[in-house]
Amino acid sequence: MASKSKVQIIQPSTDLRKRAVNFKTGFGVILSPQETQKLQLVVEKSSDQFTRQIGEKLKALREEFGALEDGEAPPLRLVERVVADALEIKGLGGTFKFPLLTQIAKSLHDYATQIREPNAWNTVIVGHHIDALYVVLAQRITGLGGRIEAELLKALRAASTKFK
Amino acid sequence: MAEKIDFSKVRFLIVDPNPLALQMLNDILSMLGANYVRRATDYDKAMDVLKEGNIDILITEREITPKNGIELVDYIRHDPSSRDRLLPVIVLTARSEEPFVVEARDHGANEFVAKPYTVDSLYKRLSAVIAYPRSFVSAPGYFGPERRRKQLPFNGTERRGVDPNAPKG
Repeated sequence: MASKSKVQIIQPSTDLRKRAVNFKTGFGVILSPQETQKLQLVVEKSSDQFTRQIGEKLKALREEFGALEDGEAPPLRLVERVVADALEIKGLGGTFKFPLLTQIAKSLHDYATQIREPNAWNTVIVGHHIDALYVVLAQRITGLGGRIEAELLKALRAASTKFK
Repeated sequence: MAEKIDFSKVRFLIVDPNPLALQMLNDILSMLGANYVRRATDYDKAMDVLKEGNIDILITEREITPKNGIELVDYIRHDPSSRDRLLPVIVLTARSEEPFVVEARDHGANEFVAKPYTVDSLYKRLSAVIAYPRSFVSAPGYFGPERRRKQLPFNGTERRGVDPNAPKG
């Protein structure tokens, strides 16, 4: 049991609040719909940059995986790049109205993270994920897509579980 | 009359290895009115800025190198050379699964925002750390903001004291 003297409560610093919170200038403590919309425009402005940047990453990954021979395992450094890129896509997709990208990237990240000794199955499964991401981006499938996209995601997850 | 937050009075450090994520966060803060936003793409650069001081809020991705964002929180909360042990920290990360939320909380992060985020979710956390700062708890094995968010009636023995020498807000 913790003794009374060892657990202390420290009152919060109110310096920042005193400096920044007021009744005249700035954004509301709770955002109004207009303020939210204003901020949303900032995100939308970066949308083209996002599709370009992610498109380039996926293109490069596709080329590297495409260059592997049939039955060849991906080198570990390539797997590490997949892990990093998948996490990045997972983190950004939904913000730019591509939640399906986020979901596929999560599936890819979960799969690639557990690869210790790459094998030929990894090439196939990672390759399918990359192709799926590429298609979603190229076709500008915003939102979660429809039945086909849901089936695709389910298939990718099932394959990831089966072929480690 | 409703309270407002003047972000021109708030100094930010934002840390993310991804240039687009960093730029977007910077743009959102600029739109809010922030005109002091320091940026860092890795742990070491973030440390350089933290050691200079003059930061009011840190927003960091967990996945940074060579050490991670949680180790940055550890430095702030525990290192004797830390300029401000009470610095508000928001962990904004694509590592959004529950163990990472718990990890951030238990290491003393004030808020956690999962990527992909909406401007609304980010703003709520910003607003919380500025307008409604939480008390800190110093206990064996933990130093950081109060982890209990709801004030529920407690009928047990009060074992926590108030440190008369603790820094006052």
